Amino acid sequence: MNQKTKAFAALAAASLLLSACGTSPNARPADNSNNSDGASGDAPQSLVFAVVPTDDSKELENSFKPIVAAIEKETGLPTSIEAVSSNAGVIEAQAAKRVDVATYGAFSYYLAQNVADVTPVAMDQRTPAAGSGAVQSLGVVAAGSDIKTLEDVKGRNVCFTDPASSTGYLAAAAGLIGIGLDPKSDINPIFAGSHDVAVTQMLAGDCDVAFVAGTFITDILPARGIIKDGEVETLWTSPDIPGTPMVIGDWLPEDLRTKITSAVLKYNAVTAAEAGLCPDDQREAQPSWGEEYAGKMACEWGGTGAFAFEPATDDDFATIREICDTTQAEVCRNE
Amino acid sequence: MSASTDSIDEAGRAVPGVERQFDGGRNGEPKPAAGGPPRVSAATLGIPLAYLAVTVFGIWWIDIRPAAVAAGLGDIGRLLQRMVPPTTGPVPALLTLTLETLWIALAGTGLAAIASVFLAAAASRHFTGPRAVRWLAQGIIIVTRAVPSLIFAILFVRIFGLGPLAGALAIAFHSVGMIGKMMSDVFEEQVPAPHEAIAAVGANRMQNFVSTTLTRALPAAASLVIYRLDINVRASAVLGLVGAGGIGVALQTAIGSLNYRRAAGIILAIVVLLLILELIAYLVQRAVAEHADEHTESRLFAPGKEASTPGWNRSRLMRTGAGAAAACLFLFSLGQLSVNSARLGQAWGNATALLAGFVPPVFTQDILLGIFESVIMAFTATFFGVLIGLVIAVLSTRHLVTFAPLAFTLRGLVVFVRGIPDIVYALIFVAALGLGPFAGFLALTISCTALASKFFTDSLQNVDPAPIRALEATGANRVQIFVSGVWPQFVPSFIGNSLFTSDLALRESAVLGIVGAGGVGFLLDESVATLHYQQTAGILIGLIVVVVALESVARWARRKVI
Repeated sequence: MNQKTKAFAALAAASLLLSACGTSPNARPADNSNNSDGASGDAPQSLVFAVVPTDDSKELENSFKPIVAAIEKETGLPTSIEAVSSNAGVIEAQAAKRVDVATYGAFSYYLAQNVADVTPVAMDQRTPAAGSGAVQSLGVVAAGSDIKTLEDVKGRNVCFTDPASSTGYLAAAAGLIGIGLDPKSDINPIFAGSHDVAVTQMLAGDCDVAFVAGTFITDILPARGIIKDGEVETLWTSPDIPGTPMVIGDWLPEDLRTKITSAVLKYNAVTAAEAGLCPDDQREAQPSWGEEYAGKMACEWGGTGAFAFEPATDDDFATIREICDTTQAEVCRNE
Repeated sequence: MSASTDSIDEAGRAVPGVERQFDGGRNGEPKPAAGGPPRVSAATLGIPLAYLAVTVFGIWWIDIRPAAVAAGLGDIGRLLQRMVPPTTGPVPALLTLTLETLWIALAGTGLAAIASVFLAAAASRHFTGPRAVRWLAQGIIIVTRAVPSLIFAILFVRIFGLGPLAGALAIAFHSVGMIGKMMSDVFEEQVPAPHEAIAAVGANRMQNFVSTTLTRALPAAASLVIYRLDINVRASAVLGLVGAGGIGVALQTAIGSLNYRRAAGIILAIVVLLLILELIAYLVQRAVAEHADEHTESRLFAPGKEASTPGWNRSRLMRTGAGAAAACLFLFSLGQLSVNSARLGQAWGNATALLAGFVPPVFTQDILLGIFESVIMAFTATFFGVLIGLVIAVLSTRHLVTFAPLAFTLRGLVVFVRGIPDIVYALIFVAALGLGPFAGFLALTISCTALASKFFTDSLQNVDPAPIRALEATGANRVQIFVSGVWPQFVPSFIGNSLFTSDLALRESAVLGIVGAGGVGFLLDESVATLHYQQTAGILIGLIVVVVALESVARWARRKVI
């Protein structure tokens, strides 16, 4: 053997040694798998909290750390946080009772309730006002377009996000059906894949109208300099679509579910900071939170930068069911 | 023999006892005496050991516990039940979607193949032109490979607008990296004798390249291009980012809306298409095989009227016909791309505005950790994938196993496994194991197995059967034949393809995000979706560094073992 081979052998031996001592950073408590027998009586030894990116989420995992800290404090159970790129991943984990708490888009909840025993307990709230977590879908055109009303959209090229997006397609499709236009045949739908591309390609002339999540038009794209003042005109605004639900698995014991819910509802971003849930990662309170909180320090409270969570039930998400009933969209159908 | 080709001597690496050492003579040691055992090079021992080391670490880090899978079998069963029976919806609509995707993939792959011939020739070790050209070609091949097609898609959609053109180009650019790399490997692996012979009779470089290098590379290159077409059809979900639709987007939507029966129907359509492509690849390989094999023609040309003009025989007719058919299909697919020349005027401004957002690149601790996670997972998955893939490949190669039905079944099975997208495996393992790296590791291992077995089968097919037949004649048993007749020929491509599997796995590690196992793919998607392009740039630079490192190891290993 030459020296290189010896070096490799040493490396192999070293990694063997390393593995022999110490637990893996990804080691999981063994009880995670026995949840699946559905016996809601035995309390789990740990919790799994899964989060899915929504349209405007950033630093997903970090932004949920204070919430997880609150849950750990209230329940006394170690809680791991999993940031997941696909809603199907989380929903299937819920169907197998392997994710205890999750937040994802309202449409994902609509899909999940058909296959998993989950209940929404809270939804996000952007300001201290109740219901402020709701989002809208906006229909936008380039400034000076000859399209002035939703009716003018007939026969035109229309950019959407993707067929399974409530703000980027479903709400708009319901709106079009509401005025008697068939979103499949009366317009030429183009799915651009993402909200920002739908808007930029509408401005570039690939389509005449774009339907996207409101926050992209009001906040995200202007902040990034992608759309400039007065470049885009809003043609139509959808009714409110419920914000991000937090759902809990029904298989958890009742008292544990109550504890988790109250842990989440107990704090808002500012009181969480005061309670020391985010000692290292604080920011200043948002101006939209009003006088009362001006100048105070706050936690990053969930992926959408929410002010707080408010109690929610299944009824709060009826809007999605109505949209699905109206559109009869392919993505709404369950097997 | 010239200095540049000193380590390429087919006979020397294959047969023990010949005066040649595997070390390539780098350190100038005297060669062992005839009859001594062959020296084992640092690469053939060191690279597998390095993989083993990372794997041992990976097993600990991922916390692999096979028992957990058994505990989750019930959940897997319940999920699979929701996938059957598959529904296709209206068949003509599904067929239209499939064809749409096929045309875009064909156009993109074809463009990439043409560009790759030139790039691979320039990037090859045998390239005798200016150094700078060679480095440039190598740089283009590495960068296009390291940059995921997602990034090309968001760039080209700004330039060319929504539609198939942006999609085809995104596919083409990313494919150049793989086709170019593998083609230049093929060029380098060739025995230099014909090249030198043609050069000696006064042919210029172009003539020589076409008549010796390119013709001999044809079998491998053809199956490589068809395989990339196969990958591009499967990866066509990226077309959703350019508004081009197609079957990949339909599949993504079906899975995203938990409509698994429809997803299963679409997957079946994709599998049928992949089986057709695999069959074509198989037939092409037989038609242009370099070596005489059962039922194949070793003579590429029949004797012509004069000594200098090659004549026609059946295989040349078939080759020419197939080549013409491929060219027609490619031209037709190009016609399907609607080029809107009016858009090109503003293209430059749009592209620079987008690219300006990428600077300065931002590196965060999360990015470094994500790359680390992805590398560990990719290597560990490669280790297992290569082991399983090697077994499958050996069993499905005609030279080695004479039982044809087994070979066909295995090849079909591998295509089927490959046709199912990573996300489906991820969901299955998430149901069994919950979110976390273990589920991601298993999904990644399956895709590595499919990759490795495909690469290994193709290179085993191209093994020179002469030593095998010779050993058979001496009465050697199957194991002896494999060890002495096949393995020495196969080692360079075994090591090269194993490293390349890791390279591809690194980019497929986006599947880890689906199961909450982090990794660089998740960060990349997140940074693009939230328009944090400076982070995207940081991630891309990280990916390029890793791919360059892997490529350097691969090149070093090739110098040692070829």
